Amino acid sequence: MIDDYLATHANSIKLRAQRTTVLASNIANADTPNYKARDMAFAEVLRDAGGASKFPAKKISLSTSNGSSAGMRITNNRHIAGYQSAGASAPLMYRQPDEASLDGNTVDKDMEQARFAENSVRYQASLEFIKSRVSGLIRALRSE
Amino acid sequence: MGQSIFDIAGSAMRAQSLRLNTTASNLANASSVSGTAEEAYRARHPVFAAVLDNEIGGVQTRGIVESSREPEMRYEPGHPLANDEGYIYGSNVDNVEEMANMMSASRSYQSNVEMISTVRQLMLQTLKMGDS
Repeated sequence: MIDDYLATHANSIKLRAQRTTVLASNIANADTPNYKARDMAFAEVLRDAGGASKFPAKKISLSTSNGSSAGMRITNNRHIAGYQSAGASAPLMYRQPDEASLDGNTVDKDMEQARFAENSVRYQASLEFIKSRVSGLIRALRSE
Repeated sequence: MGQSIFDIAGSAMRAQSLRLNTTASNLANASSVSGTAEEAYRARHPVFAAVLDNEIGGVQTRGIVESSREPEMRYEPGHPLANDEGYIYGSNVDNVEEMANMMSASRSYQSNVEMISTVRQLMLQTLKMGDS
């Protein structure tokens, strides 16, 4: 199934794009008093979204801002471990600040920039993986 | 997830450039004098706030506040603006504070510019995904 073939990286790319917005918001608000830095627990969110579809989707409880959590629960061992595509609302959590600041802002500009760079590199990596998978598929389909 | 990255970074750039503008105004008026304490130039600073509370998004400027520090009073009877007692009032701008503000603002502006160019590159690459 082509969904399975691309699922991990397709979901990963979607979540990476979301995380880029979150980190962008952190960097943009680096000088805003009382702004609290946000981030998502990427590995858990990706697993919840069925990114790693080889493993059964395990329910992981996250301390979300709105109290809900994504993912499907397996209550019977005959249930198929389904996966939902990365939803529009990956649960966001508040970052634990390393040091307190006087104005109540919890953004560490350097760390956020490092994370932003890491996130965009990984986005590119997923993009490359999808590219190579698609070209591999096309090569397999061609009767040459 | 209402706002796009371009909106977010753009709003931050607008806010930071406003901060640079007020800093420039403060530094330019650092040595202006006047005859009364009320007319003396007071340093101005923008107040930033997140556009959305408890949600990711850009920055907005709530307003510009004047510093409440007392303006500097100097005894210069020969000055044309001196009042009856011979005092003139300088501005309450702190040069060191303004320089620090300027550096911080320009650095933040730069980070936002870099953010936009990174995201732009990623988007272009994503658009070209089908090629090759």
